[in-house]
Amino acid sequence: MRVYLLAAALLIGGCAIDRVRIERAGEVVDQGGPLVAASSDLLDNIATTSRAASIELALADPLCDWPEINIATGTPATSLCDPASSSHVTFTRIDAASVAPTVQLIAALSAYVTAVDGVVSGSTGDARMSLASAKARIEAIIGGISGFAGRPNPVSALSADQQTALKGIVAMIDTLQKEADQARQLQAVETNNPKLREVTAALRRDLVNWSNLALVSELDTLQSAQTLRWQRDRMLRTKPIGAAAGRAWLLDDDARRKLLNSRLEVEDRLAAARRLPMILSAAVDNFEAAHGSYVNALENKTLTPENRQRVAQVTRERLRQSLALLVQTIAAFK
Amino acid sequence: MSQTIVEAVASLRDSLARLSQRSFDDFAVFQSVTTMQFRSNEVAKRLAIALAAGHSAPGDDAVALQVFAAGGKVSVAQPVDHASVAFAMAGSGHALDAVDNWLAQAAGPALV
Repeated sequence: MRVYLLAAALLIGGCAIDRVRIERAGEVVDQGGPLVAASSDLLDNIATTSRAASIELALADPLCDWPEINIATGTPATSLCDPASSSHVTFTRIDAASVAPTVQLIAALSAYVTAVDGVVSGSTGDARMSLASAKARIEAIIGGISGFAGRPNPVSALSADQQTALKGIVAMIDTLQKEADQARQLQAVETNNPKLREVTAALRRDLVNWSNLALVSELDTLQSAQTLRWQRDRMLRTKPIGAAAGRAWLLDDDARRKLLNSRLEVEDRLAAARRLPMILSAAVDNFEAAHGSYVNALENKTLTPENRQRVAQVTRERLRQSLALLVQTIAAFK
Repeated sequence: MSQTIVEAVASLRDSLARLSQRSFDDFAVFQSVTTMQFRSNEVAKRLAIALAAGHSAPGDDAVALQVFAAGGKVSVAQPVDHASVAFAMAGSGHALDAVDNWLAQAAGPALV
């Protein structure tokens, strides 16, 4: 009788651990989904802003061509794109090819979260399809198939570390596909933690650089091109240089109103963009923390049910707050 | 080390942006600041592209220090003191040249 009771207790204990695994894995999915979406939104936003900045530059001076805009940096430089200038810097438009390496990291993270989600939801048919799809995507990335309209991209090669990390995720998906048992599938996720860290570390660095170096710079260019147009108009009004040449630059009231409204909008976006690196970095930190907490829960079999519940509550609240902040910040760009 | 150059370029860019938002009495002087601002923005973007692609090069403290120093000159330039603006723009131009050279070493000439 005692033997039966002990066996029953062990079975119940095992079930409780499995429940914790599944619950924590659900948190990884809850945190990973919005992070993937926010990262993709950021890259889309940068590409859109870059396009807008190129248009605003072209509007700032009739001597600016488009799409290739050569900004005069030498002498003489009587206007923004003066072709007589001794040197020029060419505007770089950030497009799909530019952000391709980061898209690949996001795809890897997305595939990982999808794989965990498939295991947690237990929907075998869909899970098998999503695992197969995720694996195919990552293998295509490793193989260098980046898929941006056949354009050659001189900087799309992944570093050796990035390739190793992605291969680790493929190995994890392979294990998930082979294992039918949910708890054992989740153990495969646990052993993959170091590889996932490499992906998230690279993603954190890239997101911070994209937002700080690229988005802020594009918005700054957009705003300065608008300021340039405004200042030229204002100076022409206060110090007329006479003749037709001056009048040709003057804006009518509607154009001035639109210019100022647009400039104020860019100012708001710029302020939000300056806060973005810290928020995105925190979002990656929280995803890593959720994953770390999940892995700890798998490893630590001595936690009492009360402790597990308390840790889960604290983790959930922290994730909820950080996600709300992330969503608010990203929404400010739309 | 590449992150130190990132911070230096972002700092110079922000100093140029603050200067360009002030009141100028001469449009040509204002335009020279705006042009340098555009140039620093382009360098910053190319840095983001190169670093995201996994490119890096041996660190060069001298480059980062030169860029930080250029940002300092921009911060103290006065829009009505045209000589101070010209001095700051010359320093910024040299500093951005140095970053371009560093980028050429890190990512190849295609990005410069």
